[in-house]
Amino acid sequence: VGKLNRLSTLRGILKELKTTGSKNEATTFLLNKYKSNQITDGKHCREADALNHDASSYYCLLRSTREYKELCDRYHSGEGSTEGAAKRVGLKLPNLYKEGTKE
Amino acid sequence: MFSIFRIQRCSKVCCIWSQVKHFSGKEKFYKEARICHSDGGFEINLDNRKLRTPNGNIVKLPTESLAQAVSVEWNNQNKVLKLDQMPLTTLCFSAVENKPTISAKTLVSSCFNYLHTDTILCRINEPPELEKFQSERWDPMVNWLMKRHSIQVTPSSGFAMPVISENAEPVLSRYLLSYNYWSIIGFERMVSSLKSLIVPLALVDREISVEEAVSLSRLELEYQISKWGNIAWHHDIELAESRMKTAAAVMFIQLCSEDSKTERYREALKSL
Repeated sequence: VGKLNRLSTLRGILKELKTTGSKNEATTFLLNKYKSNQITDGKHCREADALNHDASSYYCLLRSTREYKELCDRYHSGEGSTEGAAKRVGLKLPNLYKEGTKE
Repeated sequence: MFSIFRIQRCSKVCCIWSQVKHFSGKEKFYKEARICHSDGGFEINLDNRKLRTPNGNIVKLPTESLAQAVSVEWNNQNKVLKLDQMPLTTLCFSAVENKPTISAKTLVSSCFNYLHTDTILCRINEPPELEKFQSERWDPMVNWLMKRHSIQVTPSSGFAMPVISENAEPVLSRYLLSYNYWSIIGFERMVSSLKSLIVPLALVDREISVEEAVSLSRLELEYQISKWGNIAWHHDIELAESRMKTAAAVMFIQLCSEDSKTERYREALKSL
């Protein structure tokens, strides 16, 4: 169960790095770190647990930064704010007066 | 009474809000962020320019892993820079700017003072369901702290202050001072954002995950949300932000403490 967990965390991190268009340098660095710390399964190693915890933390950092960004863009974008705000509470804006148009 | 503690704490660490304003909203002025060795440390190059704090000081990072992670933040920026979405960079700026003026001892003392009003130690009696919930989730953390550091703490409720043993201050201060300055900056930020000393200690010791740490620090809020409903544009943003900041702080600490000799020493102390 340990290895599956580790792989899914790594996969998650790589996916996050890919979606943000990060340079390959960081990805290569990360993969090298994983390779150099490969430990055969079956051995309980405190170091492996520590690295797995760090990987999970990093995955959480990347994921929640992206979520924070998406939520800010969605709710605090400030574009079409009046109309968007009205829509959010289920109302429509009244017809606005336009100068120069004949009524 | 509690608010006086908070005001004292806030004024101690250099306010970086002005730095956030300085960078945020600026257009992305570089194509690529890369790292480079420099005199026992690492620096970030934004195309040809070295990364500097808003006050103009060069940011020199202690480890390569941290430098890589910071470069990822800068490469993730789109057309406009948003420093509030770059928590590792913010911590780096804080470390560089505060090192000449604010000592490690001051930061550690500020962290320790949070223990007196630690989230985990201040319980609510009403409603009984919440009291039980707090006990279930927080008591294990209290027990862990007492076992791990050989100190005594007793939670309290109402206006009573938690009881903390005499040896707590020297023991915890010595522990925190065993970390380097940059790591202590990370600790201070995490402690003040989670409003607890115990939760960051457990997180850095890898006892709990980031998600669990954040959940413990907002227990009452989660209880209320379960009763009254979740407001997406407020609660979700707050949750994502809290996770982002906490994950950044713990990564910052782990990446800054990568000096393997210190790590092994600390691990050895654990098994005693």
